[in-house]
Amino acid sequence: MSNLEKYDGAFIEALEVEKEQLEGLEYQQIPSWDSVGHMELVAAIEDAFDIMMDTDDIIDFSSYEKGKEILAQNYNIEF
Amino acid sequence: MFYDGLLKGRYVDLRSVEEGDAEFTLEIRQDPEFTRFLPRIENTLEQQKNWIQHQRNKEGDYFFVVQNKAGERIGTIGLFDVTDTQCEGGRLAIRGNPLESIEAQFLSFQFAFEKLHLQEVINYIYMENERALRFSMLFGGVFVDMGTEAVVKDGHICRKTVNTKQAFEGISHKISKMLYRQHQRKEKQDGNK
Repeated sequence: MSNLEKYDGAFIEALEVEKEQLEGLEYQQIPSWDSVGHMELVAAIEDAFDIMMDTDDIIDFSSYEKGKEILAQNYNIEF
Repeated sequence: MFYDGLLKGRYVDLRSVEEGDAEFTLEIRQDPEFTRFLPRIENTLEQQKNWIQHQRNKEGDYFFVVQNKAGERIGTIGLFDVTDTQCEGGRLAIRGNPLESIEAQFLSFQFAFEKLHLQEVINYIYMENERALRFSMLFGGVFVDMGTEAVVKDGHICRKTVNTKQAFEGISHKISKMLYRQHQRKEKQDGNK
C-alpha cells in the first residue's frame, strides 16, 4: 500500500468520508472533523505510519493538504 | 459562584468569570457558530454585567472563562445546579484548537469529580448538536432515554447524556495520553543545545 493510500485510508476510516471529499478538506468543515474526530484521525495516522505525532503538529494539522506537508517535513513520509 | 482558583492545564486555563468578561461572554453567545446549539443571549452589556455579578454569588453555579496560554479568552464552560451528587454541564462555547477544546472539558470534569466530589455531570444537548454529543461520549458519557419526557430548550428537543465519575476515571488515562504527550521535536532541539 502506498503512503498516499495509507493516508487517505486514515481519513476515510476516522472521519467516515469518501475519497472524493478529501481534496481541500479542512478541520471543522464537516461534522465528523471536530476535535473528537481530529484525535481519531491523528490516532489512525499514527497507526498507519507507526509514528507518534508531536503536539505542535497535531495542532497545526488543519487540512488534508497540510497534513501531508507535516508528515513529509517532520516524519520523512514521502507522497 | 466564584471559584477562587485557576484550573491549570497545558493548553488552557479555566478561571471564574468576572465583570470584565461581560462583553466577551455576550459576544461568544451571539456568535452564529454557537447560537445554532446554545440558547442565544439577548442581554445588553449592562444586563450581562449584572448577570455575572449575580452568578458569582450564586451557590452551586460555576461559570468559567477558558483562556489559552497566551492569556487570550477563547471560550466558556459551566457547571451549574450543583447538588451533593450531581450537576448539569453546559455553556460550552470554545474557539480553540482540538487540544484546547478537549482539555477545557477535561479540566471541567476533573473539577466536578475531584474538587466538587460529584458522581455525575448531566448534559442536555440539542439533538442536532452532533459535536457536543460526540464530545460527551469521548469522556465516557452515555445517553439516557427520557421516554416520553422530552426536554426542550429554546425550542430544540434535547438529548440527555450523563458523564459519571467512574466512567471519567476509566477514560481519563486515555485522554491524558492524548493530551499530554511529549513535545518530542522541541525536546530533541533542546537536547542539541
